[in-house]
Amino acid sequence: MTSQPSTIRTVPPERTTATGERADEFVDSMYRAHAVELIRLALLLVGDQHTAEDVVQDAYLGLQGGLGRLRDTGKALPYLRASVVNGCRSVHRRRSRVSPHAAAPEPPPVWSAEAAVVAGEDRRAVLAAVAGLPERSREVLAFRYFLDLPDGEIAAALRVSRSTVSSTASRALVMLARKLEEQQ
Amino acid sequence: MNDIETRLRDAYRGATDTVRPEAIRGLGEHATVISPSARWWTRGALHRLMVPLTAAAAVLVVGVVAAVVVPNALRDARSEARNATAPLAGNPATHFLLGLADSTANYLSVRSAITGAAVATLAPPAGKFFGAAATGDGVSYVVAVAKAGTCGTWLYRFTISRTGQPSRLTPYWTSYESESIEDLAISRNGRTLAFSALTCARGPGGVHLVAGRAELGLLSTKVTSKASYTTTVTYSPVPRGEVVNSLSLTADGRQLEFSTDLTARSPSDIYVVSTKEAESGHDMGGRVLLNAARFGASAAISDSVMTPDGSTVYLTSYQTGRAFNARWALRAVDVATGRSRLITEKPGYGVHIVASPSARQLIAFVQAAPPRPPTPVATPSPSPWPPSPSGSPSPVPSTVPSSSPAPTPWPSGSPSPVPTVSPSSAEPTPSRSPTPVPSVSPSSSPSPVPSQTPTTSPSATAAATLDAAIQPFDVIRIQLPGGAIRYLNPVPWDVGGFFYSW
Repeated sequence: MTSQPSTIRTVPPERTTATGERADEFVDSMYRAHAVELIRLALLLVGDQHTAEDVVQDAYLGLQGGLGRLRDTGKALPYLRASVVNGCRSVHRRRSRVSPHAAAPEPPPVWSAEAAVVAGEDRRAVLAAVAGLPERSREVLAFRYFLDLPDGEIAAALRVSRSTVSSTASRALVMLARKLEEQQ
Repeated sequence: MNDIETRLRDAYRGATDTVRPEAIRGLGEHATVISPSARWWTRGALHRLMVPLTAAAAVLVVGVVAAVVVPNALRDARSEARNATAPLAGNPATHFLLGLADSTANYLSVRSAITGAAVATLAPPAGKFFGAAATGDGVSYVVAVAKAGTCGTWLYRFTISRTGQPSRLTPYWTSYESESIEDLAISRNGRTLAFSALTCARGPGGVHLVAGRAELGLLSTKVTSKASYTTTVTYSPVPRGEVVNSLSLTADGRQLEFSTDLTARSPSDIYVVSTKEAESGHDMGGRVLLNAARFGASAAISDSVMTPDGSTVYLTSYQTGRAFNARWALRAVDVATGRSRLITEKPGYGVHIVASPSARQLIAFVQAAPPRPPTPVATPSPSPWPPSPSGSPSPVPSTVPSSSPAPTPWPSGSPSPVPTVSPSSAEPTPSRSPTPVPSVSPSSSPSPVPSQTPTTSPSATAAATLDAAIQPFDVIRIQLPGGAIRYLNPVPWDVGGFFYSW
């Protein structure tokens, strides 16, 4: 197995936000405040912490690079959430293309039987059932039941309408209940 | 369902608690990635690469075609034009334009847009004569037709084939307007038509033009089925009584652009108007995009045209009065910002431009004879539109005061030094010289059009024609937006005898 550093994008430290705040300080503060929550969100979507951290790092680097275009720094968090969702989708696409000859297997997701990090069979069963749902359903459930966001903010992060969020969540819960019943 | 939600929250909490804040990487810390197998070129990988590789190859081919083949083809076409051997067949929008026989307006001549050679002719309905013509796509034309002794205008349409042959005239959606239409513009789909017109009114001896009552009009047609349609007609007075020079519509018909002439009473402006707002009752003089005074206190706009996408207006301007310098300029104005840029400036004093339907090509007809020294101008400066001098008998703002005998091409009373807008003793010229009242004088008009006719469209057209007495002319093809210029052989164009529209 070989490993190599991923590409790290940097921006000049003197860059400022549209409101004049220094970019690096602003991004640092955002990282301190929200990184854990976003990594946890990404973990629910991609299944392992390592990949989740990568996704979140990329999202922050994207924020740092795009700060000049961000007129309202209050929108940085929604931007990060949307970036994390996009990053997680990219991970899924990449995984679907990974050659069977890849040198290293992906780490077991938190919902797998091999992952001992989640205490309790019921939790693992629920997470496994969620993992069997469509991608958008998983995203909506994570935003609604982990981040406890209102439908409007979920819609903004996922770039869908509020009604789509509502209907997707309803269908996802029904499917989830059915899957759990089947498991029993 | 609540049970499911509770279990879901609990599972999420259990999973996410495994992410400990103290254990996560700092921002920007290098991560490691698993590199793919060294055997990435396995059969499956190659198969997956085929799609992007094929797409890249297709993009490359398109790029080569766009960068090499098309320019070569265009260069070949231009070369053909240089040699005056261009084929007299092809896309009508780029190959043909219309010339209106100036002296009598009794036929239209389809001309090669490349060489100016006549390809075909089209006669008006019996007893009528042609006026303004317009096309949105270069294939379907609408033409205004007037009749001696009346004041209204008939609208017909026809098409031009790939060989330049016109079809028969058929009535437009609205076949008659009770106004004297001076100029036309039409959208690409042919369903929005804008016109400038002089109003008609019933008076002693019949229907006459109302002096100075110029209007802008919009005809919008909605086709509801094969056999039914509705047409909305909207009129609006020309802002501030200005004299409309030229009209153009965007491809979708949503934006109307028109320019106004510099007169003793009104400035030379370019307006951009939303046709939707105009149809809902708004005045058509809502937005002045540009005032010619930007180019000099006595500058005037002679022609203008808006690109089909509504992004740019091209205009020609010249200096009048003491600032007259026997030069004309072609400029582009960004409709969004109002900023203008100079494309080219050339010697000449009297320019009329026609633009291809795509507005990527202009043909400019320019008087090339050396100018007289600047003449004293009676119109007071510096204001380009002061109140009319008391010597003008016409209540109408005029570029060429009707009282002027105009023995020379430079009537001293005119704020415009451009002589071509009004053949001095010939019939008056409503579109350029909005003095329709004198035009009813029978003795003044050599035209076959009876005197009481408004000398409307045909005379308007004739007015726009450059005076044949002061040849020679330059005929210049200008590529847009860059402004590359090519001088064409003026002889086939017979500029003195025809007024062109494209």
